[in-house]
Amino acid sequence: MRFGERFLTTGDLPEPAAPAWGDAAVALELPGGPYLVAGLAPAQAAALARRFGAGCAQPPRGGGATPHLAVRRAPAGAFLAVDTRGWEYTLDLAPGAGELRLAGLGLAARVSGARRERAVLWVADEGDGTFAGSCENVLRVLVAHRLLTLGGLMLHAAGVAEGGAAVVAMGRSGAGKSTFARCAAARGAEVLSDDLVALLPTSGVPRVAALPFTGDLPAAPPAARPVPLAGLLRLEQHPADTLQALGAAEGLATLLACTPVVNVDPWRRDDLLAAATALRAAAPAPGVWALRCTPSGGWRLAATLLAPARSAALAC
Amino acid sequence: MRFRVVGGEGVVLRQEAREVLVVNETGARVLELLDGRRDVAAVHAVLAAERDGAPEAVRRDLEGFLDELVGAGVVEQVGGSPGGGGGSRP
Repeated sequence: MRFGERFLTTGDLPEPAAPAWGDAAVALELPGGPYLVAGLAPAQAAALARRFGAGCAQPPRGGGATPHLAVRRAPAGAFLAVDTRGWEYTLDLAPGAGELRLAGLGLAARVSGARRERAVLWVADEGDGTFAGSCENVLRVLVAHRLLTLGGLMLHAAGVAEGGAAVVAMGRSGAGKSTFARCAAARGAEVLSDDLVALLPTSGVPRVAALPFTGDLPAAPPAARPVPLAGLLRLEQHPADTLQALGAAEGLATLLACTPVVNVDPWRRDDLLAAATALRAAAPAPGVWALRCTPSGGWRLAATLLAPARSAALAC
Repeated sequence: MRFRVVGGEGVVLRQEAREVLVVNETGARVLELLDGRRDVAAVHAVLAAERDGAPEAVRRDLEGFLDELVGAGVVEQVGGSPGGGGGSRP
């Protein structure tokens, strides 16, 4: 299927010279940021403030932050009507050498540069309805690429913290990430996210940061500090509960498979291989575990990886 | 480069097919040797020298593995057949 065919009337992006919606701008405190969003109408800025809460602030004087998202008015009739009944939301992504094009429900965007750090988003919504969601779709792309530029990864995973450390349970949609997170929360753990988390490099053990792009559960505040990684898990539904170390190659393959947006961009392939290889090697041994579990048994096993952190918390 | 060797195995990122493959130690070594300059005969010579098996057995294993890699789109033939004088490259 051609890029934009499902979403765009002309099948391609609007003209780049389209006017901005307004003069408002905000800075979003997301991992790898801040992310400057400019060209906003007042209602759009307010929508982002509601959506991102404490993570949405006034931009610093002088602007010029990288990454940067400029919001533009889409021309009338730019977007096709889509019957969303029974439809699983997807985006059209068309990566190229110098830019990445996106199209989705009521949105079109161009992300520019070899490292995909500056974007233009065309929307028809002045802020009353779908604007925050459209903005979030482009922000996910910017965050994924920004983290990769910094040697980190945005992972399709649930992140759960306890006692000052976190486990990250990777898996596709339907693997049980939300259930895993819900069980952990019921037992007093902190859910960083049940859908997307940031894995950040350090000079030692990687750190895990919350991302506000959640599935079914509310995310931790975006300003929450990243916490040390206690374990990387590959989550699989299974009739019995087992935790088994994966080999290095299979662990790396799991990371590569669970890094949305960047793992389908040929121009970021080498960066992705390097970052995933380094992060797996820096993760607590054995790198990645296979957590095969029942809906309620996964957290019980995963929590054993946090046991040293639990003991330390009790000793303090 | 679209693959990495870790823990003696190879991890191949096939973005066009949206899949990640893990190949065993021999497969990883073959991928390392397929540098676009060596032909199949040269790859065979290196593997035969590194392994204790009979050269003919090494050649059969190599040809079988190359057939799998070509079929999976991991490598492409550059002239000739995988078992002949042509080369392959990832």
